[in-house]
Amino acid sequence: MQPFRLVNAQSDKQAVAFAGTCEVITYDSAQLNIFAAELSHCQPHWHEAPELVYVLKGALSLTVHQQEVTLNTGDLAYIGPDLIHALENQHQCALLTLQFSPQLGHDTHTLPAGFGHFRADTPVARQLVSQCFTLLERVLQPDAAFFALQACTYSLLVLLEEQLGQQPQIPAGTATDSREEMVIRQSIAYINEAFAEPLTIADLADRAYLSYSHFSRLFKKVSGYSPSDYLAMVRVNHAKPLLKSMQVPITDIAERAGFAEHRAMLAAFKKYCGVTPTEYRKQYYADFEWRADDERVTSTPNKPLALSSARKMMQASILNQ
Amino acid sequence: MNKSNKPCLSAMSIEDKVALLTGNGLWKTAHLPAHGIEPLTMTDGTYGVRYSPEQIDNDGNWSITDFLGVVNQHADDQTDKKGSEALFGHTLPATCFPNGSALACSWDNELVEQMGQALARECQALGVDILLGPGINIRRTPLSGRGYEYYSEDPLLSGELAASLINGLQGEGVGASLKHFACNNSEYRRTEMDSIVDERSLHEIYLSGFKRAIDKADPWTLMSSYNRLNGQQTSQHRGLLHDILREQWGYKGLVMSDWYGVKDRPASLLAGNDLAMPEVARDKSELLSAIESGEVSIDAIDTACMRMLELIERIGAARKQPRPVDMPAHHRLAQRIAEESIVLLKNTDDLLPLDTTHTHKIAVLGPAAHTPVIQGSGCATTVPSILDRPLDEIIDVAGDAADVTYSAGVADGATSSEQALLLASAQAEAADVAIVFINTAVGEDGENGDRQHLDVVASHAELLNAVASVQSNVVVVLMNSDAVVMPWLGQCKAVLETFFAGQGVGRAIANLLFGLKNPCGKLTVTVPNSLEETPAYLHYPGEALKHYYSEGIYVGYRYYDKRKMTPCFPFGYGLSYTSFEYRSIELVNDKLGTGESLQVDVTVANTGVRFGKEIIQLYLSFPGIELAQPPLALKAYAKVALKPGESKTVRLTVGADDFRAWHPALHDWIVEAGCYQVKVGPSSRELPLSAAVQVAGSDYRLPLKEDSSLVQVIKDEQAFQRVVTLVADKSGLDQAVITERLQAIAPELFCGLFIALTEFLNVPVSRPELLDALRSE
Repeated sequence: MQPFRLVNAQSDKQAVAFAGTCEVITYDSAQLNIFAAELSHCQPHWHEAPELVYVLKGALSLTVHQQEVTLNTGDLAYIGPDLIHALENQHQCALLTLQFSPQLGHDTHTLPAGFGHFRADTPVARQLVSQCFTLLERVLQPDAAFFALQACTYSLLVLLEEQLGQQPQIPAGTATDSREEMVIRQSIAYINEAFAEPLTIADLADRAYLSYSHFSRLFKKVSGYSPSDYLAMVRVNHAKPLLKSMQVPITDIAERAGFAEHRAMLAAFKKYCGVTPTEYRKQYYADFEWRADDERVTSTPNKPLALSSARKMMQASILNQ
Repeated sequence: MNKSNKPCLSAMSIEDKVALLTGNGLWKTAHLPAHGIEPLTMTDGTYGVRYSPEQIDNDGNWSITDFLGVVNQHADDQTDKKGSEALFGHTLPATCFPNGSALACSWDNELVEQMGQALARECQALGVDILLGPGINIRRTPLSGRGYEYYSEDPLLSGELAASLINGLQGEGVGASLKHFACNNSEYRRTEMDSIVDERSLHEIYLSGFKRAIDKADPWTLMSSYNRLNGQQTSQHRGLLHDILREQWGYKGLVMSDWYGVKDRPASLLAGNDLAMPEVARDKSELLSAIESGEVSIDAIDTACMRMLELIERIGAARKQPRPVDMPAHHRLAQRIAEESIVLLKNTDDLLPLDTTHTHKIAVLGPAAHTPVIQGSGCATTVPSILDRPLDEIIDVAGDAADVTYSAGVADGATSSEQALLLASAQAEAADVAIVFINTAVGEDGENGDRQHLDVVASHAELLNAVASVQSNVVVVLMNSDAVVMPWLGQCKAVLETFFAGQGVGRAIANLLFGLKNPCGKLTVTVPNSLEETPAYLHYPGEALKHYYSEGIYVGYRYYDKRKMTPCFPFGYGLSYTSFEYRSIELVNDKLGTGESLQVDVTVANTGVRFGKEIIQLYLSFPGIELAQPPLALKAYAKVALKPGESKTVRLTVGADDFRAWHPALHDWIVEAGCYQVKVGPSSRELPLSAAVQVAGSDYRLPLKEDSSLVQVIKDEQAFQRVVTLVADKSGLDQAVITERLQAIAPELFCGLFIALTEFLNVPVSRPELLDALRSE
């Protein structure tokens, strides 16, 4: 299961590539990556590029830095550079995501750090939405002028810079030693790929050429999670869509997600989901709308939405205010 | 009530009246705004609310494809995603409660009433006025395709449970439709078959459950069946719908047809089938013509219309504001009913409940552990609101206490697969206990078709066999429409019989396996050793469209008892994790006068170490002198909850009517005078307590004819006295002497009385003189 990376199907300017580490996002000359999707889930990951998400409809939970935040329709969230984050659909959720290339700081400045949650119907959110909408309209113009687009992007960053200064700060995942950071990034990338294997923390430490305790401390320092917590969370996130699908026996799901046995899955779910996997599965089955939709949700984790439809949804919600 | 309806009726045109007596679309009744008549909405089914928004909200019609879709609907469409999307388009999710065959095993009137209330709340939230259930046809043969919807092979239990469900529904303001009236006991060619049933069996077995439910719960509607009964379509059977239902029983509610069950609308109306469902244009035009031609009188139409108007008024008065339904609470109720209904059939070495201090590794096997078979296939098939998968629930309940492995052991739910079998065997071998889920073929039960055999899916039996060869601690969990044969019984130590126990079955199984709950269900049918020994076997399914119910009154356990056969498991059987002792029986009254009911106090103790519930059963043995009788007939039951060491005394009542038997010569009920044995115990084959009651009996005279034997005539004092007088007249002998001599010679006279008198005793009586003496008053 890949992290939440989607391609703007409308534009041929996009360029998203996956390279070695957790997630590297590349950009065209506009230094902006913008896409919309109906979200199922997106497991913990991080990237240097900060992102702004806008909830087009429904609700989702966002886990960032070991806290869980519910985002409702019209809410925005800004996730600063290198913050580990995970997304999970709560109810028929669709998202517009803007990712800002670090190049927008021209090597001399970093983009706004930290995390911000902007609730719908607050003056700040209205400002941000309005600016996002302008930007989206520009992007959708077939021959959008380069400087106009850049100006729009920077206007948005101006707003974010102002606001983040006023938000309670979560320390960004700033590893002092870039070599150490790289080691943990590689470890995270490895977990994201190999979680289904019987991984142990000792194995991971060995791979990083670090002692068990040093590795654990460093992992926590860099990612905000202990390696065992992170591994369990990745496995839980992998198990969730399988549980929703109803097709796969629960014991097979535990195995596919890399849990040595169902008891490990039970413990991980209690910790990261608050309910047992059995209860989790039934909660979704009991949601009739979701159940009627399950074919789509299981076939693609996140269904791309055309930016033009995102624009329509956004326009409707602005008009409603 | 009548006062308010009458003006309305007089203002209605013939066309309005005909419209009122016919459906409106598929699921509604007439809308006549000029007369202030709003349509009623009804929907299936017997254990869940099947609401089709297309058909009800949009007044959609039933295209042939929709129709086939419902009738051929297979239960696994509900749980298996294949085809489920099409289905979601058809009906809304609703609580899928345990089906009749499971529900009945609870023997719990109160719980069944609660289920009725819950069904009513789900109806009301959707604006449904009448739920088309309960169905209580006697489970005469386990092959019957709709056996899963029905309650029992016993009429008393069927009628009691139906009354509870109806009271639950109607108490909450939703009408019931008691069905299918009558003698639709198998699905084989169900709309063509003619059930040939003798009079006594009809009254004592096939109709008495309906009578009981009507007496105790007054269902607002009753539904006629698809079949013929003794030559007549039931929807057109005046003897059934009028003479018996209205005149003998005094039923005042409405009779509706089953969907498309009317073949001749004027005839059905005249017979007393008030409402024809659904809307069929031809029904209306034919009824109109019949009124015009005078074949059907306006009086007959008005009588039926009055019943419709009364029903509409009744429902209007009872209807409650739709409220949101607490679906999680209904799911918990479905779980609880399943827990109370599952029957523990075998538990060698007390393998159950699983002791997690010694059982560390549990192998769960069989496809139904992941995809449980929770219901049958047909018009009652419900899209479940939530689903408890047994495997998921076992894992949830086991928690950290045990390691659980799973494999299906077969491919695609039913296909034998060597590879799957090897994996299953390996898991079973590595475990401390194997729990094997086996089921009957999904979709073989259902409407308009019966099962062909009583076996579980062959590959499931193979799986059990393979598991048993490597694991001695095997628990079988059965999911089946109706009774199955169990040639594999020796391969397992424990059996949990769930029948089709609805959407909460998974949790119920897990709770029972680990002893969080104690099994307390008991069988409501006999489990046979073979299909060939079942009571209805010889004449099933009939030939030339006639199906003779040749076993007569000896249905179910009555047959096994009469023939002194030992079934695989008897009626009323079910084990517990605790033990009960039947301590004493006391008759409150050991002599019964006419019309008196019997009261019996029974004391039962829990002698084990767990809390448990026991279903106490009371059977009567009739004197059986005038009419042949089965050795036992269930007459009362009670479910009692007992803590360890606790004992309770329960009062059971046998109503005066429950001593009756139908006399085919009198075409009426009699109570035979004499000594009745009252037997009480935990099953029909284990009745440790007994007592005798003297019953006065009813007065009746059997018809005497010229060829009646002298022995028969002597039994009728008045007739005998007249014969003595006649003979004295003709012979000039003293009456006392004649009486003495006739009594003495009676056993030797093998001929009828007329021949005996004229040829053997030389008494010159004429036929008319003798017949006059023998006449009844």
